[in-house]
Amino acid sequence: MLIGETSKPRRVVAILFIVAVMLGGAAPVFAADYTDYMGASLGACDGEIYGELAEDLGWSDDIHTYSLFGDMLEAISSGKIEAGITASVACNAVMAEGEYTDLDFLPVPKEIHSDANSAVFKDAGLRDKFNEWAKLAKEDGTLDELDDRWLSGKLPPADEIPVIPNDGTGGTLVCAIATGYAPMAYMGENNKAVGYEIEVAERFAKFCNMKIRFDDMSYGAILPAIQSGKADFSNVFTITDEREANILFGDNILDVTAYFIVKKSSGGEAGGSTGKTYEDFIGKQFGVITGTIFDQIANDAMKSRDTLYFSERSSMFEAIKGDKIDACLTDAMLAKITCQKLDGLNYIMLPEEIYSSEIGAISEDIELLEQFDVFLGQLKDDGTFDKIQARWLDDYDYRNPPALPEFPEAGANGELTIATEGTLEPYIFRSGDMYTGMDAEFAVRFAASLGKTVKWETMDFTGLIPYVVSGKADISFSGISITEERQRQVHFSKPYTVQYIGLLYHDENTEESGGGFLNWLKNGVENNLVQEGRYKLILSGLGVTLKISALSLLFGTILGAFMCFLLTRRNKAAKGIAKFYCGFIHGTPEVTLLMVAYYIIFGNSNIAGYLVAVAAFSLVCGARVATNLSGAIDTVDKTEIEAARALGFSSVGTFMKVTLPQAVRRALPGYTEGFVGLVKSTAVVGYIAIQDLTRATDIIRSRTFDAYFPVILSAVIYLALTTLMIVVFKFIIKKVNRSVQI
Amino acid sequence: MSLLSVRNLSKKFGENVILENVDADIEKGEVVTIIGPSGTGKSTFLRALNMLDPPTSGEILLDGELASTNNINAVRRKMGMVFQNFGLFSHLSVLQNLTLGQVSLLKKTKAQAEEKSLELLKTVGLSERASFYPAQLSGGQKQRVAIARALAMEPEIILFDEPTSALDPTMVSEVTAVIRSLAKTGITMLIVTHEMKFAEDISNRVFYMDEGCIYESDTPQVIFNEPKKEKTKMFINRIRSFEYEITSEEYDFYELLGRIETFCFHNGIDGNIARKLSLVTEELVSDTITPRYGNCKLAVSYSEKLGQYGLSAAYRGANENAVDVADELSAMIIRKSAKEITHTFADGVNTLKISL
Repeated sequence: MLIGETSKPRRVVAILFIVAVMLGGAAPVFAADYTDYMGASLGACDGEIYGELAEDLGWSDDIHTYSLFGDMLEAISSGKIEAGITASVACNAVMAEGEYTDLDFLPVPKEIHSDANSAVFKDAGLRDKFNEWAKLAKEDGTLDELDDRWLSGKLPPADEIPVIPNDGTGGTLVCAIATGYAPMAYMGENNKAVGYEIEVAERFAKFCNMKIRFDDMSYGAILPAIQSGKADFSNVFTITDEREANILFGDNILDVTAYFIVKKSSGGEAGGSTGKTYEDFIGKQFGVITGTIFDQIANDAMKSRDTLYFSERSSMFEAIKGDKIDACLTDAMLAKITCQKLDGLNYIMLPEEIYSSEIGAISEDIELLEQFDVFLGQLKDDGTFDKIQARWLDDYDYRNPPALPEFPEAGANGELTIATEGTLEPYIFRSGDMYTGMDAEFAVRFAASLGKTVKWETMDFTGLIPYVVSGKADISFSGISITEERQRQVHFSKPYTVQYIGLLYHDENTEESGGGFLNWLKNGVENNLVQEGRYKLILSGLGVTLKISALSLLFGTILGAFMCFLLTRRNKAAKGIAKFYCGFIHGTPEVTLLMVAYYIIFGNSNIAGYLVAVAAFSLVCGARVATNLSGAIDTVDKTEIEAARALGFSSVGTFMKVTLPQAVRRALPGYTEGFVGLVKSTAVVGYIAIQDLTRATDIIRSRTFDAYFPVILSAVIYLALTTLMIVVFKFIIKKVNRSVQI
Repeated sequence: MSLLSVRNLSKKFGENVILENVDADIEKGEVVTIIGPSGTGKSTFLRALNMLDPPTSGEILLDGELASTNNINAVRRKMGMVFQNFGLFSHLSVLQNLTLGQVSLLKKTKAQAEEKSLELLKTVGLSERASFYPAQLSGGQKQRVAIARALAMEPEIILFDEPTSALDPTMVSEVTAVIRSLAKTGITMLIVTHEMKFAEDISNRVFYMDEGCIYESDTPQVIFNEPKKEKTKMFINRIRSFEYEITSEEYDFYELLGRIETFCFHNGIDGNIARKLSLVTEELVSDTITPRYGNCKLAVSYSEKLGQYGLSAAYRGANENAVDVADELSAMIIRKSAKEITHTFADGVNTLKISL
């Protein structure tokens, strides 16, 4: 191959493209170009120049290195990296072997980059000898023959590989090779090393009238081997200035250009070279998120042996990685993004026939929905709809989510309250301190068309329908599938997108190795706190937790003291009220109380969720305080009370001077416990759309899918908070308690 | 006009009638002790006076003023009360226990209250413990503080509800000593007690309560030595004497010894005599009579005239003097302890009288 000619590999790739288009069927494959991957995460092989090249040429600064070419291909296939860069010659073999049908090969034009390659030597004499051979080989067409045999896109069958006698008498040349890199050097039949490099070395050795011995090692060890003299030469190395400083190159014998290897854009049917299809998972154990429609698919189409319900995603993904379930079903887009974010997972898209579902918005207000349908129609007509879809689905890169359009004039007609779960990337999710995503874009645009701004209300998926039905939100966008069952409960708009299912499974090939605790900690902090300023979420959540707890404690104490007073009355009615109150609160789970308060008692009012939480927890705190205090009052010695009365104190006076001081002292430890318990109890306010500390970590978890760090962080913060509180209370108790303990 | 007058006081608990139509007059400066069997309403009577357990009917007049629920707090300030289990305010120091009522109810200044309190503590011998907390005091000390606390309110009359019943014998005397010296100051006191010697020594009058009323009321000399009415006589006898019946070998020996000890204690019997009594009981009754005959009626009696205590043991069995058939050691101990031993036999019953 000479500089200036059209490279054969390029033509081969073009043919492959067309074939791929035909094979890909209904799924549209639009002609990708390597320039589409600028700034993407790129892989390169250890020892090759492409990593550096990518950085130098400004292609990307997110380079991942792989020691094995196969590992890099797996990484592309599973979506861990978006593209790999390698030499054109390597791509030939991959195409020829036909293994990775989900990969595309995008050429980098020769003008951008092409490398001269030759053999490397330590000894100048040997190098000169090589140049002699090279000149001859060029002239007599040997090099062309080599090109045709090895670099045409197909590997030669065993019988077409020339056997070059190894019978030189002038000594033995040691050639360093790294097999596993077809078509340059790889193991052929009979475990014999074959390839372009092998043949070049064999011919050269013959030319020198020497025997040839091959020393197989890892690619990165070759140059050091030659420098140290362990091997005499190796060939087909790219000539770079840096290398020339340390080693001698022969004359150019091969021009190599660069290729981008990428995953085909939509719906490859199998993940990677593992060759798995969705049928492999029929009858296995599945995980799904509670309240989604995927359990139906798992049970019916996939005949799930046992379906496990998870309340949030990161634990479900962990379960897959830990082999507790075989697979999970989730939104296809989300599956794809998850594989990018987490290692150890791979995904398969389920065919449309098994499942596809239309996604719609829900509302109680039929008029509003009709307005939305009209609005959507307009978007489709002027092409904006397609652009939005492309932005968020086809071309989506989770590291660089598109920005939402802004409508500064909107707001004249007030706010549109939109309920959402807010954790379904790329439909609607939290980025920084706002919500973004495809659904978010539709929502913002729709609201703007009504002259309104958007007010987001987040909550659990299961809470969306009740919330909308009760009128607390005008509408909900949250990737909600239109199902018959749901249509009975709430009205849907016309569909605005279609959802497919992705199946996620454990793929050990994509697992990254450990890295130790410090590394985990560093990554944890980086991803969960620093990125997108997520630590702010934690701080604001903490503030909410504290505010709700403090207010509830205040009102609860007052209420509890009053109830305690009623308990000590002889009046049966008063006592009865207090007893009923305590019994009811003690007997009902706090979550239930909260939900009853929010959805039923205050269901129709516009009262802020935060106040409902304070009201509910004040009730809870009050019951605890009442019981605790009345118990403490009972422990005061009756004789002391009689003595006070006998002295002439009124019953109120006796209570204030004798009973209360003692009772309060005795009640303080229980009071401390109660407060600590209260703070921890507030962790459930997420059910009514309040963003406390726990919910903040949930949100972070929904973006990073890190099952461990946010949860551990949350636990640590609660622990620190409650410990601090206990210390403060103990200090107060000590100060108050001046009398000697018996 | 009497300081405290009680008219037709009755107290019922449902169907149960505890007190019925009780009348009494307490003069200023009197010390009245109330004695009687358990459950006859002594404490109930006392607690009805300051309306801690308000009477079902009747009138109580203090200084001519009728006590009712309207003025009860004011009335109580004039009536001090000392309880069986002290009732000291455990969250306050000794000094604060005394000053609390003075400051809150008598509206004194803290300085005035403290001055008075320290004086009172001195009179009960506890000025060293002014800053102590009740938990750090012994029972006797607590009761003395309680008395001081009652005095701090400058009451017209102090009611004592079995002030020494919860104390162990070593501490009883320190409290009775305080009450005795109080009596000398001329303060009016009404004391419910089981301490008979103490009651005899200190009272101007004794109420014997029985049958839901003040059964007999007279000077201590009369009540304790020459009671006029039947039940009073029986009571005095009972407390003056001690009887115990043994019907089988499996009787509770320790209970018997305990009862003897209590009897001696309540009656102020000299320690030596008490020891001899126990000793003779053990050797004679427990080691000799009961194993041999399986039954015994034991009685301890006191003759004031002769100043002598005696033990009598009656047993059914063969006509024998138990001391003669006792083993050498027991016989020797008995003979040594006793002044005189007499034996009689009639109707199958042996009676041994031993005077100590």
